[in-house]
Amino acid sequence: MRTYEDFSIGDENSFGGRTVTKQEIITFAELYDPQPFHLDEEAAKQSIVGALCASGWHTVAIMSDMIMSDDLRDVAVLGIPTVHEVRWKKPLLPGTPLTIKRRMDMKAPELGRNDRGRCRFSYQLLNDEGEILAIMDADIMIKRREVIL
Amino acid sequence: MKYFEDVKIGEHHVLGDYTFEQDSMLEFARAYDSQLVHADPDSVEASVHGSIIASPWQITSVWMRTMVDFHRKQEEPSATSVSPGFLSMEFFVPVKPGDTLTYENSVYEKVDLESRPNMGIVRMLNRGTNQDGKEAFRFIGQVFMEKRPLD
Repeated sequence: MRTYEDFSIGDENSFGGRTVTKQEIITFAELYDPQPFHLDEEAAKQSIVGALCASGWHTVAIMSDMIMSDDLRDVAVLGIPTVHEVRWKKPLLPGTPLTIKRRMDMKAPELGRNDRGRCRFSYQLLNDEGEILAIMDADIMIKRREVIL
Repeated sequence: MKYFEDVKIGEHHVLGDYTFEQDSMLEFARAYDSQLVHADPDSVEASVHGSIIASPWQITSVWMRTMVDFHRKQEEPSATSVSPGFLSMEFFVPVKPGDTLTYENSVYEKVDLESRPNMGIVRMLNRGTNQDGKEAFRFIGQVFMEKRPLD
């Protein structure tokens, strides 16, 4: 298991391979974001977005799941206490092959808790043409290997 | 129709509440957030909390649904468009099976856009508070809103 100590400022990684299907987009939207451009192709074409696309909230869940199951899969993650910013830049269309690029920007031990620290990462969600679909800037809480006494 | 100019700083709304049950928490986790602390009640990760805890993305997705349902109940529609993103999201206490979150928001800031003269951005402080009065999460939501047409 990798821990807080194993991350250095400037560390970069790139990972991906997931796609989202039209049905997955619609299933999420029906429950959580029932706006026409997430539910129906014709309605989406008439809308400001122009095509059926994933809810922004579905997009961030996908990003988080990709991060946890790939980039941080062997890391002692405790959770995501803070998301500084998310920007939705381009619609996430069904069938798009997704990649995330990330960089570790800052780290700090957690005040008052000697067993953990925060690593702040900036993430870019990219399509297969290298266009940025979304960005996220978030703290991941990670266990420390050595407890400071 | 409510336009950008009609929105007042400090306007406050209780959007609604939602009780997080284990079944729906597991269903969300298995579809969207596979970390064991959300998806497996028998995991070591869940045992630290005494139960699974809600995925942060379920907490926010339920917020979105609560927000959409709230707006649909309003007599006067709002000229809101899409969101460019959100800011300053923090999760303070875990949400466990049986917890009820009350979602509310208040208008925090209005931003004119040089690039789009017929639109502004409305920023709202969104909060979810549990049944014990503890704030579970908060964030600053943003939405594009049309300005009143000139004609």
